[in-house]
Amino acid sequence: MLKKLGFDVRRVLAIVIRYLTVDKRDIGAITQYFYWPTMDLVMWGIAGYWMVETTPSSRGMVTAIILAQAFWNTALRGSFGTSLALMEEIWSQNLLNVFATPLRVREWLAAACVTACIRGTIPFLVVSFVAYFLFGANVLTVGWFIIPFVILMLMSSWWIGLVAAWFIISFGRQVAVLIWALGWFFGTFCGLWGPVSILPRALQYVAWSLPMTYVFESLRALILNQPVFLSYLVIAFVLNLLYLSITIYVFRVLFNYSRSRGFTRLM
Amino acid sequence: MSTKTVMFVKNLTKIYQPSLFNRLFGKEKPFVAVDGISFELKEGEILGLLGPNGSGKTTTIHMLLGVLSKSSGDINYFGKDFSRLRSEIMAKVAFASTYVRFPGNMTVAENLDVYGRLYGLTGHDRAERVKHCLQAFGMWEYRNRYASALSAGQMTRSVIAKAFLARPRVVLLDEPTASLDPEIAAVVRNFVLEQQREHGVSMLFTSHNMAEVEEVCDRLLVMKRGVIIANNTPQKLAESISTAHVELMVSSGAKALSDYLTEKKYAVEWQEHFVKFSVQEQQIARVLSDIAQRGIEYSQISIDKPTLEDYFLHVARGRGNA
Repeated sequence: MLKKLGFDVRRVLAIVIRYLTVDKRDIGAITQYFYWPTMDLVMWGIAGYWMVETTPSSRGMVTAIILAQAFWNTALRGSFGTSLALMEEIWSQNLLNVFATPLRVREWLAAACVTACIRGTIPFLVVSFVAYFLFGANVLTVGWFIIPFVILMLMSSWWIGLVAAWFIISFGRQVAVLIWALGWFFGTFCGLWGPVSILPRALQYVAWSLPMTYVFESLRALILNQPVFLSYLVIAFVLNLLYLSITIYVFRVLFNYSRSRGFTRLM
Repeated sequence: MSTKTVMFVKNLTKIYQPSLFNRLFGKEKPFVAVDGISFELKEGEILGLLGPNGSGKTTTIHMLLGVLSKSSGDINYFGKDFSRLRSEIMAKVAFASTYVRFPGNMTVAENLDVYGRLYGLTGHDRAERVKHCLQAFGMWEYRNRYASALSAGQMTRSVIAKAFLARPRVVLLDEPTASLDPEIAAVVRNFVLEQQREHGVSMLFTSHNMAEVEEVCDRLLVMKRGVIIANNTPQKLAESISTAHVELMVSSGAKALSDYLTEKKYAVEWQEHFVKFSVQEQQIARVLSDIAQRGIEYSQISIDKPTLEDYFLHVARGRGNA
């Protein structure tokens, strides 16, 4: 069936193997899997501990922030995974080589998304483990919601990574910094560190347009024993699909534009 | 070499448009890199693509690989339209260049394994092919070395090994021996000729080494400023240049010879008793007769007929029929 859709699974797998082989021995990749997610969590965990000591009633709020870090790292590290996949080809001057093969753009995109899943899920597991053992915040307290939350975060990671990939395929290595900048840009406005209601009015519109916001609002509701709206998950899914479709379309347009000007200028 | 055409190119054109910003402010004009070229590649043929830097060779190769989109024209492989069936066609077309690299944090074998997978090789066959191709280029002992630790020559050999991994029917080789020492370059040339002879592989070959081009290529396309200005065998192209180089070891009458050559306005180079001058091939007999009549004696003579290098220099210096 995938072959009929123009996907050769072997080629997708080849690209995934290529990225994971690099991850095994790249200190930068290892820090993305373990170090930075843990540091994120420990930082918030320490601040949270202090808040709980001074204001015991804030325990639920602190737990929500800590667990939100676990889910956010899935989207953030996953998005780096997608955009870094493209950047790695440019850094290693391999872009021309890899696309001078039967590989289709859609197969590369599929491989980048699979890679993002791996690069997003491992930090999630690491952070969940650290959150439980250091701060007693158990990600399993959200019950079966853990599955849609992780899936929605991974979907978000794909389109956030692809937004960064737009710039990389257009301007090459000089815009590498956007890989990290864009991830944090979206993180700032998606209700990660507090409910949307505390944001200024204009930013609330921005927040409700981001699928991650619905996950974090649902997460807070679960932890604080408030009603959870299933419609939030549906909205997050639809928004993810919409953004994913747009980002894939724009990426393909920019890829073709870049192909018309030559890939060598990117390297 | 069979008469079957494996690649057919018609009116292929590449025009680089200025960026939107430059277009709006009129800072840059469109640049025609390849201007309506047409040619074909036969099964089992090695076709050389020659031309000075900036003549459009690499642009042409990149369009033939689909990594650079064409502005107009048609590319056909095996009778199929390349713009519609690129992925299917590329399973049988491979590429190597001195100017591309492998990811440095993967070993040579890992890189080739990934490319083997991209070309659809499976399991045992992939492992066998990786071994065979690395052995052919003397790279098997370096298979576990990171690509970042390879010398330029070792990297090029690995990239060429990659090109032959999946038993391609057409291989595009962009200056494959540019970074190799003469001994290894000879290994590559022999491998290329063996692939042609034994497996009927067709190749498009660019190089700045004229002796190599003469040795390897059955036919040459010469490009200049984006157009093909010649399409012939290396021998015929060399013969199209009529300038020969004559070298004499003068025993007596050096002054008289110098005066004669100056009078005739030949390009002359003296080195002690040796004089070297260039003359039209059909005039050699008359010049030698004139020299004898003037009582000039020489004890050695060598006459170099025009070579492909002369032809290339002739084209590069702007005297070609562009």
